[in-house]
Amino acid sequence: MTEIDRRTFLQRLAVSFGVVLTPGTTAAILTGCRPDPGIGRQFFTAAEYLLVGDLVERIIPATDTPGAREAGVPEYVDMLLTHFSDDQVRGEVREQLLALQGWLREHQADRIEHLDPELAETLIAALDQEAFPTAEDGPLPLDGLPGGETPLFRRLKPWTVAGYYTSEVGALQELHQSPMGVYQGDIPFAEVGKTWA
Amino acid sequence: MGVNQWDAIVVGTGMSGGWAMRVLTEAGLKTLALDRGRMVEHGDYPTEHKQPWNMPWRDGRVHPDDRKDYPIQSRTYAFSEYARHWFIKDTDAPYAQDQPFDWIQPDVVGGKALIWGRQSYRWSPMDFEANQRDGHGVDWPIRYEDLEPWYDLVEQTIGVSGARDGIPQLPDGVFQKPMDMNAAEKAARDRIEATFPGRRVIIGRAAVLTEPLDGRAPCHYCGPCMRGCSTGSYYSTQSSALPAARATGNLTLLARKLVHSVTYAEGRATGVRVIDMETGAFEEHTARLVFLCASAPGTVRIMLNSKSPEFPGGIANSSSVLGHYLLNHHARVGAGGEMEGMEDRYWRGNRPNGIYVPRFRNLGGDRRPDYVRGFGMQGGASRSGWARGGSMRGTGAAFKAALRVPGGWRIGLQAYGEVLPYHENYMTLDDELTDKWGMPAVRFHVGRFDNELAMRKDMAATAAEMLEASGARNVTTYNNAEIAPGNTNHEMGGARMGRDPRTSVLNGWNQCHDVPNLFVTDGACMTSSACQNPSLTYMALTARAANYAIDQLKTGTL
Ligand SMILES: Cc1cc2nc3c(=O)[nH]c(=O)nc-3n(C[C@H](O)[C@H](O)[C@H](O)COP(=O)(O)OP(=O)(O)OC[C@H]3O[C@@H](n4cnc5c(N)ncnc54)[C@H](O)[C@@H]3O)c2cc1C
Repeated sequence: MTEIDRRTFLQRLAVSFGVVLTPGTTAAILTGCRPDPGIGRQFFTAAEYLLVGDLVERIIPATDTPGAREAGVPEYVDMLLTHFSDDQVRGEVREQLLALQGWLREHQADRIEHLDPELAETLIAALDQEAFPTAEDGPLPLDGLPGGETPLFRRLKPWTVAGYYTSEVGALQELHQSPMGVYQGDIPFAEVGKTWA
Repeated sequence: MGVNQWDAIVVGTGMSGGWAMRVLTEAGLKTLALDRGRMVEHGDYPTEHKQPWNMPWRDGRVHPDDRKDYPIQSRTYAFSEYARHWFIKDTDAPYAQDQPFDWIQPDVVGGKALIWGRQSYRWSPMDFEANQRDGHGVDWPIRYEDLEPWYDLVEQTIGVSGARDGIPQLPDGVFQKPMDMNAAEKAARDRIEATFPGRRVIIGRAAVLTEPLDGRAPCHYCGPCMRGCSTGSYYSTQSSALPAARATGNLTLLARKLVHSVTYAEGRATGVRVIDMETGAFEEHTARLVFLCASAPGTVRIMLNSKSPEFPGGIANSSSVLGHYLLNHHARVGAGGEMEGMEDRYWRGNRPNGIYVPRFRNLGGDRRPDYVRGFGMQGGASRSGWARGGSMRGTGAAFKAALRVPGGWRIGLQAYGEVLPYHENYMTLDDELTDKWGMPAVRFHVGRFDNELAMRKDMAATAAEMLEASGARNVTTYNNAEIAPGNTNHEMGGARMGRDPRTSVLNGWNQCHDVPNLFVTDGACMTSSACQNPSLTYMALTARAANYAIDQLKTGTL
């Protein structure tokens, strides 16, 4: 909900039900719309941060709405690694990123964006297949991937998804939130059109 | 009256204490309400409507440091960054456990009424007769008819939405209009009821308004009630009982006061001893009536700590059953599955309620050889959202587009079972452990026995059988018996009601057999547990007992 939506909602509420909204109450509701206080890069090196940005943007790219990088997913992943992961997970992820940087150098690239576009796509598909294999899969299309007991994307995928769809961009631009003030249990999906955030 | 002299003292301001203070003050009694929690005024809900991206750890994650401070509280589903500030720091209020027991405790005025799941079901005649019929536990001194008018009053006052379903074992009440079911729930209901005559699937009955009531607005369906609701749309002490009690001019409410014990002289409770939690100093308050509403274990703790030459084992404990026959519900057992089709159906708004399957076992012709009593089930269906992307194959624009559309429907049922009254399920005061303020801590001794274990097998199997009948595929069951008792949030017993002062602590008016002006009206009074969520019954019992006490004062009997 934008700030305007919320104000309208509150006014309507106050008028129709005689609800007494103290200034404190209103402020509490409206602070829901304050911008992100911002989280910074604490775990990643500058190079790792760039690489992670490229990877998450490949998982959820900018289309008609912004992608994972603009939605702050690299900072979100950094926050998870800094505060919510143990040393083992931190070590494994760092090793996998290092190995990926090595792989890129072997292919004469600093960044995924510098690879031949087709090779870049194959790389991403291979990382995805490694993490989420299916019965129909052939062997991995590339050699020398970071590997590991928990493949990189098995962590990075859910982190990217959670980071993106709980961001303002993901929740309000890519998806939408249910409006306040109504519950309808059984309506045509066509009336709604998109997943609720 | 002197500074610390009152007509009535109410200990605890949660679900039952809210009702005690409302009824007592409305009758004109100068009432002191005490709570160890900090003051929370209505509207003082800092995370209400906060967007996930405005939370420090994004969407309510529990920080590892909080798990250290709140090792037990953080195990309830309701605990997150959005609601942590309602719970007690376990490191301030430790307790001992002979076997694991999760005691979920609030640390605020309003108690767990601020955090509760709001499911509100009456007990039925069968539930008050159960002990007498099968011989487990002592007979309840009251029957459904005794409580019925008080259920009416409580429902009208707090506002309960629900449908009149006409189910004898789950009596209808005074309801506001029910919330809707979604497409998958309706389909499941129709198929389950057609397959199993005698089993019903109903919309949950919830203390959430669907119509305006006393200056409180109907629900606006933002979803997570436990953050607090500044429109007062769900029942809490703050939204309803506190303003009503304050309006009488008869209420004095003091926060951060830890009630240490009930004082006693010549057959009567004279008042309470209290620790001021800021200064650590002891205070005494006296009153003609004392109501204990500190949650079942909290109340029993105070009673066990109230020692006198007449009652060396705790006040009103001539029977020696104080602390025994602790009850709870056993849950974390059920099934889930996927519903095919209906992909053209969706919902709008976040409904703070689910579906409910009332008890059907061991009544009518449905008899089990392997256990007595029964269980109900809470559940719901929904379409999976973006979170499914975390374990989905795919990347890029196609992946993003796929998540823009919701996934298939999933449905789940979780059973809540009755726990029998056992002498072996008890609590005492620990010999050494105290809380941060020096008050003796509780030691729990609570296990599960054969009746519950046999019931659990049937709970899982039945949930699965019903979901299969509903058309669900890939049905899987769970039976997390290892999750500690207590984690179902419905702790009761310890000062049970009964007809015989030799085997019970309270009479049929929630009045101590031994100490007539001492009343216990929270879950501690329960003689059996039934399987319904219990708070509505605590509120009805409290309203009834408070009215009785007022009458007794008027006639000079008390
Ligand atoms: C997550 C969750 C979901 C729940 N969902 C439901 C549901 O859907 N339906 C339902 O019926 N029930 C539900 N419950 C249970 C419900 O919250 C309790 O049954 C109810 O709150 C108990 O009321 P009470 O008055 O006994 O205790 P509380 O509401 O806990 O109030 C007790 C008060 O006493 C205070 N206190 C304790 N000790 C002392 C002391 N020594 N001195 C001073 N003050 C003290 C506490 O601070 C607290 O404020 C739920 C509980 C939880 C935690």
